[in-house]
Amino acid sequence: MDYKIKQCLDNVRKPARYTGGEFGSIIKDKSKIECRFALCFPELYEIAMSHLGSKILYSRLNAMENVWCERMHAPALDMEEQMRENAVMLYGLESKDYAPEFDIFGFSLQYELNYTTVLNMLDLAGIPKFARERTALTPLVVAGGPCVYNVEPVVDFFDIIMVGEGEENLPELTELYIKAKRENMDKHSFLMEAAKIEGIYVPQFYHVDYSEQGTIQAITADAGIAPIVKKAIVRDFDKAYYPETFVVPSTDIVFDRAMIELFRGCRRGCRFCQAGYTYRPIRAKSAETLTAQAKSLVETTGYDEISLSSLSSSDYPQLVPLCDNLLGYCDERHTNLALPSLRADSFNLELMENIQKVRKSGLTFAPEAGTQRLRDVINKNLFESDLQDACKIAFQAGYNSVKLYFMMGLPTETDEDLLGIGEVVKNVIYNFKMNGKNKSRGLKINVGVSTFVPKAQTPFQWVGQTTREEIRRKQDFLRDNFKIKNVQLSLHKSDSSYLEAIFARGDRRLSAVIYEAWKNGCNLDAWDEHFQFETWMKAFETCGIDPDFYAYREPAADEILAWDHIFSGVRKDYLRQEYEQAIAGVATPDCAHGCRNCGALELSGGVKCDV
Amino acid sequence: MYKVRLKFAKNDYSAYISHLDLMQTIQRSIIRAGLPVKYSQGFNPHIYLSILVPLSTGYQSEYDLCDFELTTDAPPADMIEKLNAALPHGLIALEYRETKTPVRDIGFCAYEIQYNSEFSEKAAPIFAREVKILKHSKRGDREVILNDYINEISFVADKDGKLLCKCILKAGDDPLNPAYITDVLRFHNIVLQSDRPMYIRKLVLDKNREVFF
Repeated sequence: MDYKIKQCLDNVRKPARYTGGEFGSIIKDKSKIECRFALCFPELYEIAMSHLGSKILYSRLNAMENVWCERMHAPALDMEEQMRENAVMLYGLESKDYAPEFDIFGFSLQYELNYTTVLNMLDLAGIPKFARERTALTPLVVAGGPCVYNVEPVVDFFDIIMVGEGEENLPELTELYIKAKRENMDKHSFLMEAAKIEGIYVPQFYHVDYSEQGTIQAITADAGIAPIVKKAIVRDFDKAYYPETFVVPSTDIVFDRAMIELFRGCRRGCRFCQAGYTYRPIRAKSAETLTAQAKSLVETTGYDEISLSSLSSSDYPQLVPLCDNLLGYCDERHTNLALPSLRADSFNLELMENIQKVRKSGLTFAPEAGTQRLRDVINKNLFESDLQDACKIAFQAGYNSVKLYFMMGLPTETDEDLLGIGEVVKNVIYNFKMNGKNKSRGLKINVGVSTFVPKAQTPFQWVGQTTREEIRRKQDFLRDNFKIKNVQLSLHKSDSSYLEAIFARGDRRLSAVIYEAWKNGCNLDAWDEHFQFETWMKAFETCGIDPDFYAYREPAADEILAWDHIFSGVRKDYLRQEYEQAIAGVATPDCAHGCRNCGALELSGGVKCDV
Repeated sequence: MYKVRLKFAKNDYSAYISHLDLMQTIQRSIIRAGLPVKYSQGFNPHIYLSILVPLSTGYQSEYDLCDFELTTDAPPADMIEKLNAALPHGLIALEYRETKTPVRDIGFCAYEIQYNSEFSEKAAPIFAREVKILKHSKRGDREVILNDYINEISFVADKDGKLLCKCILKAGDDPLNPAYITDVLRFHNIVLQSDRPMYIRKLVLDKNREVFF
């Protein structure tokens, strides 16, 4: 045992997060390895180990004989203090080797409030934070994940951004790196070669000019570089690489179960949802493939729960045959089948009852808005009657607990829409009074109302976030009008939503702010107890940047947006069309009713979506 | 039905798996090993598993015991091999027998404490005299005589000249955590405040100081 690491572990909470050694973690012989890859997740172990994408990439890279992929996560504050005191650098969980022994650092950017944590990890790894300071081929710092759809605020820190799905192009990039290392290629030449790989975005090859008003005048690519970066996708998703096993943590994490991915993309087209658009085209796996993947995971990991994951699991075309395949198997093995992400309009009680036979979880629905008018604006395409029908069936069957998710600060929202949330909740309560099987036990309702953040690559990228003052007023308004007995109302803190909005539609000029904020102690911003709003605001001031410019502004239709050079699969003109429909209050039917020609088929080579 | 009493070791970094986490870790290992294990009835079936002598997080163990039940009359011939292929790094299945001895027979645990401080002749005499400590427990703090909890204690220099403590301490209902030994040594400045010793449980003994299995 490394004595310095032991010194740290003996002085921190939950030391098992920092030891590695979990069943399924991969140990390789260093002498046979040509590339040491650090899969960096900028969050604590409990969050990092719950992330499916990282598990897929971990296994995929380790399937390469001459590559060793290890995990690096963000230490909690007590561990960080110990590490700095004992001169322990960021290390790979598997080998406990310190960062300087690694070649490539790949960060997963899941959430804008993780950006300072990325810088903190680079600091603990002894790596210069700005890409321009790293002149050698090694260390190479790359990033992927949902934030790549507008990654401009942090491009200054990364050598390469991987847009889209990494199952195929990450190994390709790694092979190229190994070749470059063998041939002693200089960094620039390597980056020129890398830029040819599908989905690879090399930020330094693009230049941004700003107008006097501060908006973007032009984004120009260097000679020989594609002006638009097209997202990489795995075309035949059924045959896509998928791990046969997972690393099984020896300590508690957030989502601790076997997971299979039913399909990518979503046909619903809710206008606020970045994921639904950026994972298009919609590609599903067959029930046979998923059954085999589920069994392999359960048998090799010892997990007693399988989650059928996707953006909208009740839309999976082969859901019934898949569940039929798995139910008997799960029953024998005392294994629970979990189906998150269900829609109220395709709620099937028989299915729910069967899959939750082993352990009943609660019911969750996300109407998102309190009135049909607003639901049409955001294209949620859910009628209250659907919701109430689903609740009625569930209550009659004995369910007495339900979670409802809404958002506030949606475009065109009025106070009437907020009152609508209360009406929906009251109707659910009445529904229970009429139909509840166990009325004596009472109904437990949890209502979550989060703050809307306009996201890049969605129709609402032209919408400004509601101001903090207005959000606070709306929250007070909701609380005052929501005095309903036995209902738990949870509201989001508006300050972190404001910061998220700034970075969600931010540009390259923000990297100075992120660096300044980190320098002054910002880290683990996603955690309420660590989020330092004042420090962030001071950082904006120091850098002479107005945060409201990014959060509140509504760009003109013809304005160049900071992410226009990244093609996510949905064309900008389609998004604009959807924006205009939203303002007019007109809903768009989902893709199952006919292809809307959003642009995704350009990536699939014309192959139709699985709807 | 076969009640298994498994002897296992908790080495290296696996020392940091907490007692509660160890339960789930062993349960999953049993499933991975494909053992015909008995589940509880009812709404939320889980594997019956009992870890006999809890160990503080961070302590290693060469001798740890847990009980579980199989639905078959005899365990599979290669149960130890199957378990070792299924356990995470540092946890090692050593041997098993059919559970016969009750937990209440447990009397003592033997420990080795490896310090990073220099060997000192002053250590042993301290424990020859009466030492009072404040012992913490769920029921509250009590002032007790430490010596009542120590069956045997000796100090030697290891191959690097560092202080090594070998002791047999009371276990069972009112056990003594070896950390109290360290507290006393720190109090007398024999061990530095910054020293983070390695605690290793060597054996579990019954009330007659025979090996308990």
